[in-house]
Amino acid sequence: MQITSVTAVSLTKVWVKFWTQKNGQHGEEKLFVLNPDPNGICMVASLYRALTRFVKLRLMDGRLHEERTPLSAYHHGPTNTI
Amino acid sequence: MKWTGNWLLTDDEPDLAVRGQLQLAMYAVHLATGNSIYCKRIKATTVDNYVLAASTFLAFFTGRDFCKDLPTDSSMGHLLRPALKDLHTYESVPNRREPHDLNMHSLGRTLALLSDSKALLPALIDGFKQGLCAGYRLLEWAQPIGKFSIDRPQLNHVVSSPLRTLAIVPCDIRCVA
Repeated sequence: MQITSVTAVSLTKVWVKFWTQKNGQHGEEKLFVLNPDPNGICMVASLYRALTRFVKLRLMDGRLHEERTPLSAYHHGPTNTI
Repeated sequence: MKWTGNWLLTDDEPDLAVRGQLQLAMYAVHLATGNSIYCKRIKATTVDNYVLAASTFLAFFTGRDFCKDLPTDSSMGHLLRPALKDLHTYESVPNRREPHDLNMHSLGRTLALLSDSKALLPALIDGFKQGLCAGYRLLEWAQPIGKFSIDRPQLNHVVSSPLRTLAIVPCDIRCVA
């Protein structure tokens, strides 16, 4: 993962693979583009933050796996666990 | 596009009918999230009536009813109908929870900025944001494969778990700079 080597604004588009979908189209890849409104809801910026968070968390716990650990992982301060 | 955009639809939009119907759908959601007179939640049927009244009023200026796909249709348009149907569905749920609306999301985003970027709240807000854009379901958030009870979700947060998660994982994302 090289997400930390780029800035959020330099990302123009992001592809996300959806492995399990209600409509049966498993493995479909969907394209998301950057929202030019800085105050608007932006999938690309949100994924960028989630990926950079994942990178930081992996520095804390090397067991985090790109294929097995959900992107929504977070650090629980009181117990110091992920 | 915002629901408060030019209601007279005099812009150079390629498809004014679609835009008009989308604006009415956004107006319905706006009303349903407590943005009514006295800031009170109103019934879905009342929202229907408000939307119909707005559409009828606009028709005096625009010459067409934006509630419908075609002027000869008897039912609501394909964009507006699902939004109004969802409001009725939501209202029919007993012991329902408050829906996650844009105002709540905005507040959550402000609070998330004040906390550690690795903490729960920023992770939640990013998840909600992605859910708004991509329509995530519960199992795409942090669930393992298999059946689970919604009351007792088996969160797949065990970092060394051999379970194949159904959640979005980092390798599902491909960025283009």
